[in-house]
Amino acid sequence: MTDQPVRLDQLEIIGYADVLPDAKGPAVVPPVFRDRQNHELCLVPPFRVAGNWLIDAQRISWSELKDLARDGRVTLLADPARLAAPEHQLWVDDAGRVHYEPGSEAKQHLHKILRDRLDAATADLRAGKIDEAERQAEVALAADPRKLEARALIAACHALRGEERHVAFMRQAAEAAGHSPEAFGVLVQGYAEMVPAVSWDNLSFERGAAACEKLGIELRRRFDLPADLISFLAPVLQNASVGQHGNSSEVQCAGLDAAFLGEFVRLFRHNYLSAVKPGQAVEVVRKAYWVKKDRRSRVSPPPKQSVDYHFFRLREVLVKTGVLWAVERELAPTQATD
Amino acid sequence: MAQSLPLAHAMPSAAFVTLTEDPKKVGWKLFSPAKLAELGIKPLRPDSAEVALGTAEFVFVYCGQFRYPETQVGFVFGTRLERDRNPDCLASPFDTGALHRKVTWPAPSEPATSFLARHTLPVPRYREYLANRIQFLFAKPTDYVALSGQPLRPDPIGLQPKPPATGNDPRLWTFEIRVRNEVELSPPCLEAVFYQGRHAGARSVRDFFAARTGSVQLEEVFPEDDGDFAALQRGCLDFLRKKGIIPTSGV
Repeated sequence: MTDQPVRLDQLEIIGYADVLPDAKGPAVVPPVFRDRQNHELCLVPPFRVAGNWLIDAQRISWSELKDLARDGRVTLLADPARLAAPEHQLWVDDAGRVHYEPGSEAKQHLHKILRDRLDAATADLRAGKIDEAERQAEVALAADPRKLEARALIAACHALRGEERHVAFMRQAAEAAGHSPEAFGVLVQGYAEMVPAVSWDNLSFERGAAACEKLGIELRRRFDLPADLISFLAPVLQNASVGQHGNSSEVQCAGLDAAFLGEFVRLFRHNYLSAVKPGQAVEVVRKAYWVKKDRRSRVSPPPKQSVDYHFFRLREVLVKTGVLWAVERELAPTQATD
Repeated sequence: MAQSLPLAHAMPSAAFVTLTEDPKKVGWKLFSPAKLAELGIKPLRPDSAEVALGTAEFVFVYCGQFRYPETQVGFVFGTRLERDRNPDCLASPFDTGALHRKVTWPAPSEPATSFLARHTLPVPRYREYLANRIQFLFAKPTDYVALSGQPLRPDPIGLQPKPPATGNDPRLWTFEIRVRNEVELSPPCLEAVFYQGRHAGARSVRDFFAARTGSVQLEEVFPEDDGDFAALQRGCLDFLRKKGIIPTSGV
């Protein structure tokens, strides 16, 4: 037994067959209709819409619909009913406003939410605000779950926190939605590397990198030269003394060789600079980079106690902490033109 | 087929997000209406079907397919749930909620509670009756789980929908299983979850899915023109096909 189709222009929309968290979207929602002539007759999913016809809808009474609303099964609109129309879509935006408009316009508006939120999320990533970026991407994902970007950005946030299982879930979901694992990996890496290195300590980074590695994603730290390097090295070079360095939490966090750094700081201050200033920290790294280049053919390190030796050792530390990769990326084009 | 059909339960978006947020720290579970009230999660309405029929202590699942239309997230449990929770389970050959003001039965003077008691079956033995009903009522067995399958013959139980509803509601002939108090949303009983991509926008939902990745089939569904609920049902049909419970074509 099948119900007779109902003309859409006989109906009005009085709610939707879902209850959204905090009554907010973005979400496309299934409409709940009411007969404009007979307000006791309501039509709820499942149904199909074909042209101006509603087909196979469930018919329930107004009192049953109110029961469903009280049970948290449907949402009744607070504002006046809207006339049903063909090719229209009902959707709720991220502020909880309900829209009923032609499908093409609804799609455009949802796409704009997606783009705006992704832009905000990437800006947050570049500012090192991972939690904020994740929240923006969550809205973007809800606006259009078929797009890969929001999924990858959320996965990057999980990766940066070392949440391997979350990343695995996001990747599995992306693949199930028809996206290639390669594209997912490239995007996750790209988003993860937007976060400046100074935004997290080394342990967090190592955890995130390990999480990514297990998923075949190579995560590298991004340094905005010279600002990040100054931030990264200045406290070490400026505030540390030989005696204090061994106990410095910064040194421990960075995984640096405390004894070496203490010696380096002492010699560096003594031989090169009367006082290390923040702006000069980057020069230390540049020097270390060129020492590496100059010594490409050498097998053994420079003689101990020489300044070059300390730069050579510093280079090892920089390689270990990923700083040198950023320096190389920054300086390589310059070198190529030399 | 009747012996292998899984058990299905579905809920709206907000209920799922709240469940995963677990504000009362009670774990990721489905709770009966009475238990939800006891935990302070959702009050039990005195005029609800569950109170009227005395079924408030149970979690409700359907045998074979999602059948509650106003839902967006679906859980599928294996038959193991019935075996593991056998003493806590009861079955009926229809959605018992419908007995509360939505359908009529052959003897109108018979109280709903009495009618329900006469149609309450032991678990898992009800599946023998399910097999007979599927064979008797439907043109082909898969119509029992199909989106738009309808019985070929009048149902001998004699339930009739009250106007304005008509006879096309599958809840009138889909078996309902009632499990006392609560059902864990974890393997091995939980076999699959169907959801929409937007649900993964909630951090608590991702926590839930991350904990289930690899041990539970997590299937994102994409609603088409026929809506959210049809997408859930199609997901369930795909699950049944993959499991070999129904044939790969003809549904």
